[in-house]
Amino acid sequence: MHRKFDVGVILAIFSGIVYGLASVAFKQGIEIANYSSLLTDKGLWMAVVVFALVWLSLFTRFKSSHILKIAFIISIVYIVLFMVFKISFFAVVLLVVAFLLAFFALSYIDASIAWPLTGCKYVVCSLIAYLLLNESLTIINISGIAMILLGSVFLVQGAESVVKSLK
Amino acid sequence: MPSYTVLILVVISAILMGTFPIFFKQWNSVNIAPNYGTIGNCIKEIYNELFPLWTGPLVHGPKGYLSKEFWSEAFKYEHYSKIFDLIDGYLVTGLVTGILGYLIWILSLKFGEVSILFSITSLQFIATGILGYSYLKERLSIWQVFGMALIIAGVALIAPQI
Repeated sequence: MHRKFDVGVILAIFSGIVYGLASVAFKQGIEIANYSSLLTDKGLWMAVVVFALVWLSLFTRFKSSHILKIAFIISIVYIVLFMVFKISFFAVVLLVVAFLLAFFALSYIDASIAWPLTGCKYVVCSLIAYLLLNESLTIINISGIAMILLGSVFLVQGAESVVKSLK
Repeated sequence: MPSYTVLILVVISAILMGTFPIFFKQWNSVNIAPNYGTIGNCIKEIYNELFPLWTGPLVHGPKGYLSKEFWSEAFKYEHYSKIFDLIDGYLVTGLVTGILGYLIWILSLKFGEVSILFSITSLQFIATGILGYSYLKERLSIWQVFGMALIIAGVALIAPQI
C-alpha cells in the first residue's frame, strides 16, 4: 500500500518537472510561430467545433454514435499535429510525457493528492524562464510562487490527513 | 491585447485544466477499474488483440497487407469495440476541458511572460479541489482550504504583473 503511494508520489513530482519544461518550450515555440496564422487556422476551429458537438451529443441519444467518436479522435489527432508542426515539436513531446506520468500517478493515488504534487512545475518553469528566456524574477514573483508551492503542500498534507483519518 | 483580457483567458484556461483530472479519475473508476482493473491492463488487453491482427501479414507470408482477407479482417468493428467503449462521457468531458484549457493558455502565452502566466494556472488546484469536493464527494480538510487560500493569495501577488 505504502509502496504504491510512493510510486504515485514520485510519478506526480516527475510529471510536474517535465510539465514545467514543456511550458517554457511552448513559450519559445509561440514566439517563433506566425501568430496570426495560428488563430486563423481553419482546421483548429473545425476541431473545436467537433469537440463542442461531441460534448453536446453526450446529452442526446447520439452519445454512443461511432461517427462522432471517430470525429472526436480525428480532432484530437489534428490538435496534436497542429501543436507539433505549428508551435513546437519538443514541447509537445514533453507535454505528452508529463501527461502520461500524471495519468499513471492517478492510478496509484487520489486526484486530490496527485494534482497538487505537480506544483513543483511553477518553480521549474520560473527558474528556466529566468535562465533561458531572460524573464524577470522579482521578490514579488518568488514570494508568489512560494505561496503557491506552500499552498500545494497544504493541499497534499490535508489530503493525506483525510486519507489517514479514513483508515 | 489588454492585460485584464489575458488574465481572464488564463483564469478560464486554469479552471478548464483543473476540471480534467476529476473526469479522468471518474472515467478510471467507472470505465477502467471494473472492466480491466488498471490502465496498464487495459492497454495490454487492447495491444494483445490488435498487435497480432496488424502484424499477421508479416508472419503469414501469403496473406499480405494488400490481400482481401487482411482488409476485411483488419477493419472489422469487433476488433475495435473495446476502444470505442472506452470513449464515454467522462473521457470526452475530461479531454475537451483539458485540451481546450491548454490551447487557450498556449495561445495567451504570446501576451505575457511564461513564468507569470504559468503561475496563474495554479488556480487549477482550486478548481480540482472544489470539483473533487462537490462532484466526487471527496472530503475537504481545513488544511486544504488553507492551502487554497494561500494559492489564491500567491496568484493575487503575481497576477498584477501581466
